[in-house]
Amino acid sequence: MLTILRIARIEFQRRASRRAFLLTLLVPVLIVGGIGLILTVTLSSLADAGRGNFAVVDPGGTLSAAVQPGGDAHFQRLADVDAARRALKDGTVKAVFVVTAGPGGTLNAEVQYLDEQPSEDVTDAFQRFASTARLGDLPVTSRLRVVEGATLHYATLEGGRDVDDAGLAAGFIAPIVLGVLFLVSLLGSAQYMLQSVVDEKETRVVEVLVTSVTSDQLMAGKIIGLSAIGLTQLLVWIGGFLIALRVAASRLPALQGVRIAPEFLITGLVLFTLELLLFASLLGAIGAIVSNAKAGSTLSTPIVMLAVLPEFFLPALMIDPQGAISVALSLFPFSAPLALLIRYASGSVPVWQVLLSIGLLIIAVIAALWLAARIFRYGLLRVGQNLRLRDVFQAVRA
Amino acid sequence: MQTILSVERLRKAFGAAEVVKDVTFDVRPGEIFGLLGPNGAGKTTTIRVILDLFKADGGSVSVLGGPMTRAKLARIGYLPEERGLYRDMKLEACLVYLAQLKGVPADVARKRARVWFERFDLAAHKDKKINDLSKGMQQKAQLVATLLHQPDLLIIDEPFSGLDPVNTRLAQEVIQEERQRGAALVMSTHQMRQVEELCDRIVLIHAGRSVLFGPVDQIRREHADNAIRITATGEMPALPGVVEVERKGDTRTLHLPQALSAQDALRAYAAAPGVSVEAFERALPTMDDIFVKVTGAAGTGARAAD
Repeated sequence: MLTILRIARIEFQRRASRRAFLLTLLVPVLIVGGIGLILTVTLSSLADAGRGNFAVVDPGGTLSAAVQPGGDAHFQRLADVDAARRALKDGTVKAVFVVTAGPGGTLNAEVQYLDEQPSEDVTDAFQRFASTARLGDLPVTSRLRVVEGATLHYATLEGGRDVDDAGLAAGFIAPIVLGVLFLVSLLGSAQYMLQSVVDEKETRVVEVLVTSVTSDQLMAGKIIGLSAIGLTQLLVWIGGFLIALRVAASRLPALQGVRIAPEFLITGLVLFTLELLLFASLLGAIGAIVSNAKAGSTLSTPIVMLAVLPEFFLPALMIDPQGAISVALSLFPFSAPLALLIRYASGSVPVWQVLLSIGLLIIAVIAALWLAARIFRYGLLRVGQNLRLRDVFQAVRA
Repeated sequence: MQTILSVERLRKAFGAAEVVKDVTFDVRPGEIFGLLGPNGAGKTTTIRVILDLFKADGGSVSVLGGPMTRAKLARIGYLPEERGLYRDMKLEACLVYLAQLKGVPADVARKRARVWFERFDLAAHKDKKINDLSKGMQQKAQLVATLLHQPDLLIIDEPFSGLDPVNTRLAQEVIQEERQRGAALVMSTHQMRQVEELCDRIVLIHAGRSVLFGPVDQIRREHADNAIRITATGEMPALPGVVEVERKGDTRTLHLPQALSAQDALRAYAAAPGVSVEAFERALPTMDDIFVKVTGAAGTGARAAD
């Protein structure tokens, strides 16, 4: 075990000490941070458009005088259109809503402004005020209830998480971003593994190594070391994402609904760690049977595509998270983590499916390790030649 | 006699290609043993079977008194031909790591490495990446990596590759010191001069078979033609059937007919008036001559897997 950890440590150090690794670690954080900053600035300047004072002029007395306008935007009643125009010109108000009665009891409002059209928040607030004020005869609380309508809650029969209206849109962001980060980190680490094994064959370091340690120890050490690299990357990126989210949420109320439940994060990390081990094992085995990295990527591409599979079924996963395709993708070990993430984003995933998925993934990892150990033992020392598939099968059966 | 390594009737095939067909030799404690053969003869495959990297298809290998075990691997030092180190690691860190894998504690390995670095003129480069070292330095580093765990059996493949004459001399000294320390060395090389200077015994593998095996001196005597090398001044008499093969200054290499022994030739020349014999010996072939003669044109044989 000590030997395996020693190998894992060196594999980790060799990767982590490279400048390229530091770059891959920081660049996504910087990009996400940059995009976040731009979005925050743009969105918060949009939100600014909703702040300030607005005026309502009701020359015909169409709206009940007993009701005062409310909401985030500050409304004030002004006596006549001239007073409103003056207030508009000297900047005391940003826009004026002039209310007149329309035909058949309808209501018209002309919105006058200088240069900045009032945002949706402002017009929404005005609409709520107008609706409330027209129910003039009812008690205040009743008027408010009528306008409010019903608050919708979403829940599934199988159980799983409940979301409300606000959380649904916001809840999308975290799983999708985490899914992309994971995919990038997974593919990166898998590539490291392939490269690492091929390099060792090419530089014949492997011959020296296997006269000191067993091929099983070598493989296990590599898988642990390079999976740790993937996990480190992922954790740094997630950390960066969470910080960015917090900073953005402090400026953007819409993002305050984005919450990442600890159990979601932990389940995600367990799934991804298993997936990392699965891919590291398989790509290590591929590294052992090819003579150069190019031949390796030809062989590894189909396997890597399996992890990306859920992206192709994105519509099915989002529209029908409980459908057959969605469940199949969640249980298929290669695509399980990403599929589960996307389904989580679209609503809920039954607990039994998550547990079954983890179970299947563990079985897949054990099978991959077994397979990789055999192929590794056999292919590691074949330098300068790609192994034929028949030979590989023989090695596995032997 | 006690042996530290014994290979008997070894066979190894890869698919249809039989790379090692019949190889037999043994290595004794404290000797430098030459493992010779043209490219593709099956030397590297033989080494890999000895190291238990490949399983033999037939025959037997006994290392340090029995079959190979993990514990025995730790007592063996292996220097593969060229490379064999992590190119992106720093010199000292890499060597200490490899020694650790052989069971040497890190501080001991570091201490030993520094002594070797001084000797091999690598001290100033210990924190450089291996990739940034010259080819000769990498070869020296490789040699140090093989020695750090003080193995009982060293298997070194082309140890002088890329070394200049000064460093070649240094490597030779180190190899001899290792023998004095009690280690046995199996050296695979194409440099026949090194074989003559260093090796006690050799095996010559050709097309997967051991075709020559024994002490270097004995093999040279056995392959000697009826020829002499004589250094003499004065007018040398012409003897019937004697052909001059080579002449350098006063030293001649002469091929003698079957009927004339070296002793007869010496007497005839020494008795010739005006001739003064300064040196006389049987002309032994060089290992190079023997290699070429036995293996035919150099470089024949299958390239596969070597």
